[in-house]
Amino acid sequence: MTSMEKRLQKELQAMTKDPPAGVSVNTNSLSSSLSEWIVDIEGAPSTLYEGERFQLGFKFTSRYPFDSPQVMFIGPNIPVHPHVYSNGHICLSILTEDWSPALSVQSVCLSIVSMLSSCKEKKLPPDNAIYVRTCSKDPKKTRWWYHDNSV
Amino acid sequence: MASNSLSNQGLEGIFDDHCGSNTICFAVKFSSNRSYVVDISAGDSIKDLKAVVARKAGLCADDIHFVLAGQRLQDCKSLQSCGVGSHTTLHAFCRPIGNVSKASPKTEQDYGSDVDHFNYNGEEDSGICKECICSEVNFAEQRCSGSRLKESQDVEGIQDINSYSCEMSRPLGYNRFFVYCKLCDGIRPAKLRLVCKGCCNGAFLVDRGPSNWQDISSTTSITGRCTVEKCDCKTPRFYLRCFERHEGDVDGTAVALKHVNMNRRRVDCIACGDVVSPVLIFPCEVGHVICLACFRQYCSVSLNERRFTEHERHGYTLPCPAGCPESYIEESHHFLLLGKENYERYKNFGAEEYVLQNGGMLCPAPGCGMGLFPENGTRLIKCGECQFESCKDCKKEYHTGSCHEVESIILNGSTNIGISDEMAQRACWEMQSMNLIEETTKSCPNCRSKTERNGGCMHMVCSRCECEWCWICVKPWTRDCMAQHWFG
Repeated sequence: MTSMEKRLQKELQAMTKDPPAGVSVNTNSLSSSLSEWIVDIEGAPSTLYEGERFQLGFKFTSRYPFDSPQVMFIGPNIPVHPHVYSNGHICLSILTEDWSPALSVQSVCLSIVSMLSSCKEKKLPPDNAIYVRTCSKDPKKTRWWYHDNSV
Repeated sequence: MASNSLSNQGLEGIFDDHCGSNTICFAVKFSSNRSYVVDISAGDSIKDLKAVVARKAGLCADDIHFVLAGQRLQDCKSLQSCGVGSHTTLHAFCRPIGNVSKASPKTEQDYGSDVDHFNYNGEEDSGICKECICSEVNFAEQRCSGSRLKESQDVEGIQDINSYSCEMSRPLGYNRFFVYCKLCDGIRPAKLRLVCKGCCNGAFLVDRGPSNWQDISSTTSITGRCTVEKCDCKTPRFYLRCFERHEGDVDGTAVALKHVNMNRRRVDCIACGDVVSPVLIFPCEVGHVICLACFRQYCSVSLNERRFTEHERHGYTLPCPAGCPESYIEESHHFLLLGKENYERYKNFGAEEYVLQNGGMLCPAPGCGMGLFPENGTRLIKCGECQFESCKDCKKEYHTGSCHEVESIILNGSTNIGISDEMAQRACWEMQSMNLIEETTKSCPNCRSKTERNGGCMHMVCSRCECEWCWICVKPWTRDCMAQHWFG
């Protein structure tokens, strides 16, 4: 078994046995090699996203966990948020430059839930229109400048 | 104490079963440079060995003392339990017991047990030797932890290491340190050896056994005394050897790996989550642990993506994968784990990085790549290796006139000198590949590295000099680039 498979199996076990609040792995979505996951997340109580349900798509390469997973919102409900483009791409530094093998699917999900929770106003990123029209399908091929860490 | 003595006996039991009563052959060396080759059963005691050596050397058996890795070997111990095997060199010195005490009364107290053995032979013969147990507490503890790991079922060792688990439960620092052995071509447990720093004599007695890397690398941590009469040096010099018995001259074939250690606290690998031993422990505050298989993968992914960094003290190296501050692999030999071919690549990349970071350039002649440090004020760079003369600014063959003019001459081909068909064919290929490179790449505006863009946005980051630049403007990346043509 490769270290990617070993690691993902352990993460899956931990997340199905003891899932964090508002996060659950959609086990029907898993491919046999575990290279693609869908995770259901719920907006946290008393935030702008309370009661809303979203889906995160994860894709892992064989270099995981040394290479970050590709993570984006998928499905019919994409949250309206200043760091989430309407095509599901998320501007979050731990998904690219600040990724570390010490992070996991669980910690990524919790960071995204907390990113939603700290939002003060539901609005699209200022450059959403041009980004969505021209960007690559793979959000990991976008290099963002992470100027704003407040939201 | 009781539990220590139990585990001691338990392990010796394992050892006896494993080794049987093989005859071993090794050298006993006196500080006077006399040495004797001894054939003896591995199960024989140190006392038996003394009798054999006394006969050969014409000395009184009671006056002979053996030293291995800084520890004096006690009469009641068997050779195998002391870790003596074929090809071991056992150091010896000869001194009447009374003189030993006089020579250094303070130290002798620590080793008092030894002197006592001579006086209470009866107790020794009974097979119960309290003194031995007392003076070996340090090592007994070490053996305990070794055996716990070995016996616990859920510890999956790296296979080649695991097969040595019996050997690794040996005393005298066997399982504390690891080396990369060039003869075995892999990580091996290390034998710890030492000599007197002053006179290089191997019969040097240490006040305590080393327990960590600091102990063996610092010159102040552990003291002792040399058994050579006129030498009053108090400092030992430690070195590590592969525990495998390699014949002949093995100097320089084993390099110490300071970050590789037994996983005593049974910490999960940061990457795959398995609990294995040995592991590599990063020097960060929390001591992140990575298994050797994942470390290999971490290195090879980082090498392929040129993510190693040039560190002013530790050279071309990798940080703790969790990004902990100031936590780097501090010794480049750990990258031998990449395998021969990739280790060569690692060394080449490291040398290139060093040259580029220190204001040098690489010879642009095909297949050369020699590191060159241009002198100020001249555009002409001559490679000392291949003699190729290049232009510092455009990194092409040296030319007169501006770099731009020359580029268009090369690409448009405007010479008509007669050449052979083969040369013409070859030149044609080279011209085609040069054209292809020109068409598909752009040069980093900072270091001129040819860069290919394989999709994604226009925001480029040079993998060589880390300059952030715009694919469209071929200039450093700005807010305007992001607003106007982030994706073209």
